[in-house]
Formats: sequence, C-alpha cells, structure tokens
Amino acid sequence: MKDNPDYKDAVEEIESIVDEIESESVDVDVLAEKVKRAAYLIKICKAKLKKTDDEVKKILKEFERGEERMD
Amino acid sequence: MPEILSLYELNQMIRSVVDTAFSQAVYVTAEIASCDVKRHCYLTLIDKEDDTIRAEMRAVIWANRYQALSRTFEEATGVRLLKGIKVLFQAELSFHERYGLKLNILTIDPSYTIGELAVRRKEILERLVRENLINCNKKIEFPLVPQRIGIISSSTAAGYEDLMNHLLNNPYKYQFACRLYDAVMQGDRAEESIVDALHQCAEDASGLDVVVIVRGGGGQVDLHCFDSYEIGRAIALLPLPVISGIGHQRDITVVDEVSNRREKTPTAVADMIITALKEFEERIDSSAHNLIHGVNTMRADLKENLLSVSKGLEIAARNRVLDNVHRIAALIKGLHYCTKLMKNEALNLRVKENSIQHLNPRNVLKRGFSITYSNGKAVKTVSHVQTGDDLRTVLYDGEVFSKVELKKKGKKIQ
Repeated sequence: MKDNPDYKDAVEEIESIVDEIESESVDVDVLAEKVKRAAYLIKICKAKLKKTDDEVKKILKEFERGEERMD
Repeated sequence: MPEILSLYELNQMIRSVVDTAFSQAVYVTAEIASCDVKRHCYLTLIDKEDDTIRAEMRAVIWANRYQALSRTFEEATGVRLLKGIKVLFQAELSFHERYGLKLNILTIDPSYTIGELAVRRKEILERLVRENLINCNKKIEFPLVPQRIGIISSSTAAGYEDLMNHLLNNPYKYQFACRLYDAVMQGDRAEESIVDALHQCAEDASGLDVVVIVRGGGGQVDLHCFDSYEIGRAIALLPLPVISGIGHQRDITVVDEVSNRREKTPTAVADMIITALKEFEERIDSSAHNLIHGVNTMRADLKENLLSVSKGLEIAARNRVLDNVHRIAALIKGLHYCTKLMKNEALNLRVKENSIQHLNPRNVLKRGFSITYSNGKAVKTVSHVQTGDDLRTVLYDGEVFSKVELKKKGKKIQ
C-alpha cells in the first residue's frame, strides 16, 4: 500500500475495495479501515486533478534543472 | 588551323542551336532541389536515380507568373514549391550568352505533384510497416490521466496558443503541466527540428504522460514535412503516446498514421485530453458513490442479520419452553395412564380375591356341603368306611357324630 500511488494504481485499489464491499466479502472489523483507505485515495486523486500540487511543481522544477544543464 | 571563336561567339552559336532545336515549349518532370523567391522565383531542378543526381538545371518563374502559379499549385496540392517536391511543368528552354542554360517555367501541373506526394507517402508508410514501426506508438497504452504534456510546436503558432488556452481554461479546473518543445513546423528545416524535439521528449519521458504535435496554424499548405520517414520513425520509437493535431482536412499524413491518436485541430486535442480527465474523475466519483452505497447496504444487512439472530434466539427460547410444557403434559398423561392401570389392577385383584373366597371350604360348607371324617381322615369314597365305624361330620356351624349302619355303593354325584 503506497501512500502516494499513481492514478492507475489508485483507481484500481479504490475499485477493488468497492468490489469487496459490494460483494460483502469484507470483514466487518476491517470495513472502517477499508472505507477510510478508499476515501483517502479518492481524495488525493481528485486533489491531483485540480490542484497545483507538489508533484506538478516538482515536474516543472525538473524541467528547469534540465534546461540549466543544457545551457 | 581551326577557326578560333570568342566565348561570346561560341555562346551565340549555342544559343542559336538551342533556339532552333527548342523552338517549342517542353514538358519536363523534375524534383526541386532549391527554391529561392526574390522578386522572381529561382529554382534548381534535379533528376535523381537511386539518390544519385543524374541531371541538374536552373529554372526561373518570372514574377508576373509566379503569384498566380504558386497559389494555384498550393491550393491544389497542399504543398509549396519547396525542396523535395516533384513537379511536372511546361517550360521554354533558353540559353543566355552570359547566364547559360535556363528553363523558363510557364505552367505547372499540380496533379502530377499530388500523385507523387501520394506515392511518396505510400512508400514511407510501406517502409514503416516493413520495419515494424507503423504501430509502435499505437500500441502504447494511452494514459488514464494525461496531465503532463509535452507539446511540439512553434511558440508563436496560433495552434499552440489554441491548445494552451483550451487546456488551461478548462471548465473543470483540471491542472496540467505543459512543456513546449519549440520546433520549426514548416519548410525545409521542419523535419530535422521536429525529430530533435521528439528526441528531447524521449529524454524527458519519465516526466511526461503524452506528447502532442500541433502545427503553427496558417493555411492548409505545408503539410509536406509531416510526410516524413524520419519523423514517423522518431514517433514510433518514442516511449510516450503521441497525439497529432496538425490541423488539416485534406489528407492523412505519415505523422497522423504513426501517432497513437489523431485529432483534426489543436483545440480537438485539448478537448480529447480534458475528456480523458473528466472520464477519470467520473470513474472516481462513481466509485465513491458505490462505496457509500456498498457500506450502507452492508450496514443494513448487518442490522438485519442481527435482528434475525435475536429473533431466532427468541424463537429458540420459546420453543424450548414449549418443549418442556409438552414434556410435562406427556408426563401428566403418562401419570393418568398409570393411575388407570393401577385401578384396573385393583379391580382384578378384587375379582381374584372373590374367586379365592369361593374356594375356601368354609364357604363351601355354607352352601350346604359337609365333610365327613373317619379315623381323622376325610371320607372320599364308600370303601373307606365299614359298618359300625364312628363318623364325624363337619358342617358350617358345628359337628355331628354318627355311626355307620349301612353302606351302599351307588352312583357318583355329578
């Protein structure tokens, strides 16, 4: 379980959690934990789509460094 | 001693030969090796066989013809008169004593060039197929969220501006990290410049999701450079999916054929990218909805289970009580049966007692029978007594003593 998965991993994990819950194969004891995890992933995916997050800034920084190297 | 001529005299002679031999216009096919437009258009024409130039000549289109001629040509073919273009033209051959031999182009037939371009494109595509390059870029999985975009275009191009405006002002507030790889998008230097940009994208591949190629706007001409083997190959070898948005209606270029996706305009490219993000967001939203629904269903089911378990418990408990009641009832019934049995037994006993009473000799004596003893023994037969014996007869209520006077054997009493 990565804390900052890419979109593909995130959406796959979210969907597998939803599947588990829909098929009721989730143990009640870990239900809360699973829901919390899914909600967290949904939140970071949405944030990444819409906010200038650190990752985007990092990419731009990498480009700048690349350009400095080329100069 | 042969006649000695001045150079001018020689050239005059050549001119007269040429004028005589080429009094009519000629139709010639050739490839443009260079094209230089001042007021007039000066061309170098070549004829190649397997990449080796086997003929070369200078040509000119005079300014008075050039405007109309080039416009007609461009409109019909979609290309300018540029290096690499093959043309069929009508020309006069002229020889000038100082400037030498030159073709004076009168008309150009666009249909020949169209055919040649198509042939060339076909050859490039066939080569890319042969080298297994044609589908390389198409096979790359298109990213779920194409958010980091490398853009190959000219920084001053209208198409680039359209793309950026659309991406940055999208209604969903999606964020994009765009990087321009500035390239020359038309003319002789375009091929090399675009290939360079593609190589740079390949170097930055880990920081990019997609590469977009958008043309600099303008007319429908100059697509020629997009029918390039080198560009096609560079796209095929790029580890990122390429979206072409060259902005043309007429033909599908090699770039379009090799790219992962193709769109007609830069705006359409932006829309496609935004749609991909929108679809992803909808997928996430639907998961969120299903999550809530799933949890609610699970909670309701759990509640129901609990309810049914407790109900089951209640029923079980009640059944247990009922069981005991039934058992007790059965016991009571059994008890009744036992009592009845005992009563019957008592009755039987009484009957038996009665019959036993009947057998008591005292009762027999009561009914009139008597027992006669002789010498202390009950007399059962006549032969037991002799005349003169003393007899003692026991009756119900006493004894009678007598003496046998006579004995007579007779019938048995039945």
